[in-house]
Amino acid sequence: MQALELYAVGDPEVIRMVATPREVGSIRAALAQDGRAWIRANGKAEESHRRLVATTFALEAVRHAIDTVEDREFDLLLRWAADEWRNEARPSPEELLWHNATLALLQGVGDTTSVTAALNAARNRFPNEPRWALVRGWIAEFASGARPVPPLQHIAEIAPGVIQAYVDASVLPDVSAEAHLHLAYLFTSRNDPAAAVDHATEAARRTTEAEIRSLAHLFRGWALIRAGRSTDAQSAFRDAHNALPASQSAALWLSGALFLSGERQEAARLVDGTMRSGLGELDPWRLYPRGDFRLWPRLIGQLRQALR
Amino acid sequence: MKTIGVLTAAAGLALAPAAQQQPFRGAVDVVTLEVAVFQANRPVSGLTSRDFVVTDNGVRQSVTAVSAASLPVDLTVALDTSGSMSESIDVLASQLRSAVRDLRPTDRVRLVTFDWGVREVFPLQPPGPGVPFDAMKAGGMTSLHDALSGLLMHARAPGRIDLAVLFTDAVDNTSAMTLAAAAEIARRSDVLLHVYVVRAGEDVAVDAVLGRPDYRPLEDIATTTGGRLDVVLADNRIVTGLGRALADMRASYTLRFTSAGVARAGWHALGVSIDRPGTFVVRARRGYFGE
Repeated sequence: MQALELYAVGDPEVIRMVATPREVGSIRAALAQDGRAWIRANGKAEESHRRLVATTFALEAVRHAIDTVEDREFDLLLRWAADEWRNEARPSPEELLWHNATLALLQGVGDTTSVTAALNAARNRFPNEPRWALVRGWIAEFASGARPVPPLQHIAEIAPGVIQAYVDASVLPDVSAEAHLHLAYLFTSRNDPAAAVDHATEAARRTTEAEIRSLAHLFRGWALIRAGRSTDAQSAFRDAHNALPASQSAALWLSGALFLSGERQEAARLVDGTMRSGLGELDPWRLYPRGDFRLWPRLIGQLRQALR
Repeated sequence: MKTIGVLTAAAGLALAPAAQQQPFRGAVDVVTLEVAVFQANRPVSGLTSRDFVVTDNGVRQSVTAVSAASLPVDLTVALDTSGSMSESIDVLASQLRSAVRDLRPTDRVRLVTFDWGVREVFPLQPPGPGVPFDAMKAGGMTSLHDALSGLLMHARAPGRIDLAVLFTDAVDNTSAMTLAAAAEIARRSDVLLHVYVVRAGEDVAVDAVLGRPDYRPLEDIATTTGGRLDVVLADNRIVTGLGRALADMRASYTLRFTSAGVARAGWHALGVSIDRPGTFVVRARRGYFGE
């Protein structure tokens, strides 16, 4: 519990020190035994805040060790935290943030069983949260093998439940743009470029978020290639690049289209620029198979902010 | 529900409007290509223009040949630094320093690494003790096709040879570009690309049971540019690979000709052979796109 005290006063280094892969099991055991007592130690007035501290500590510990620790250990630790939230009489915005961050992290790992368990816990507390519709789609898609696949790889058949999950999500205003984005990707993979272009156009129209807009234009470009419309595809790749200049995927596809149409100087300039920026790891396509994991830095940042 | 095949996406891109500017042409009609000639696996030196028979879409051309050794080289070393190629940065940097000792003062070198993304660690610069090879980082997934595409779109500087040598374990899992798109780009590229697939001893043992992975698509890209693909073992791979690539290149020839007697538009298949007694192996790019 000493680590929790340090974490509570804002020492982020404590996670690095205690959450080694070998210690995750010990952290879980300690929290299971003494966590609730620590949360309640300072009375009702501080209980909710200390619960946020303890559950966020658990989440950060999992994130720190997740690449090497056994699935069962991080699963159990997160389940302890989810169970602990049930002691709050009324779900709070901070709790919603915590569930979103947990789901983002687990999608990053690509473990559908853990995501399903976390989604069930989140849905019990927030039954009307629109984002869960997207998570359901991600689970169906991941479990069906429709993702992750390389760009423009042909998927002969996509399980009907996958498409339906995103169609259901597409009518919810908060997540409509992302639902259309996923549909654009799936219809491109299924070699239905007309539907893919429609969904990609809708996705870009319904959001101002640069990552979503850039990906939507990129998928539109891929669909247009499928349709044999190279000139329009080049224009879509330019839209993708303009929406998010840091996207290496957009820069490379635009460069490729320019290069193959003879505009070699502009292609080389774009390639040089994207290679020199060194931002390839932030590319939205490379994070796309990992669902909401792209939101993890923002969500954990907001949680840390809420702890202060 | 499972993926069953790859469509050749780049075929669509290939339908793009005709080239406005010619691949590896110094001027509108002048074609330049690097040619390596071997006899019994050894580079052949001392050849002159009269020894080369070059055909453009089957029509013989009049060429001038100079030894590539007389031209300065722009060398790009591209290193797969993903988790699957884990090796300390110190070891890699040390190998790179040894490997570029053969470069001349007029040559230039740049370093590109790729894992999650493709990154130029430093741009083209003269070789020397100040080259910051240790500015690399390692880890993550592999965007090999993105790296290939980026390298092949590099703009060749006039009067210099643009040589890229890429080291990888040939696994790709995060690229946005497809291998088919990279292959299309290779057909129009000015870059001479050599690929070294790095394998550890245990990989080779696994191959004996499961069969060797199929490197032909990657090899096809390298040979399209006039380069080659070799498999090397992990130990000292950079010194070995770069040494081979530079030795091959120095023993090669740069041919130039003004295309005549053929339609300018479309794909030009190039044929290169040696007009001397004996059996020669000739390595050169397969063709170019005309206006």
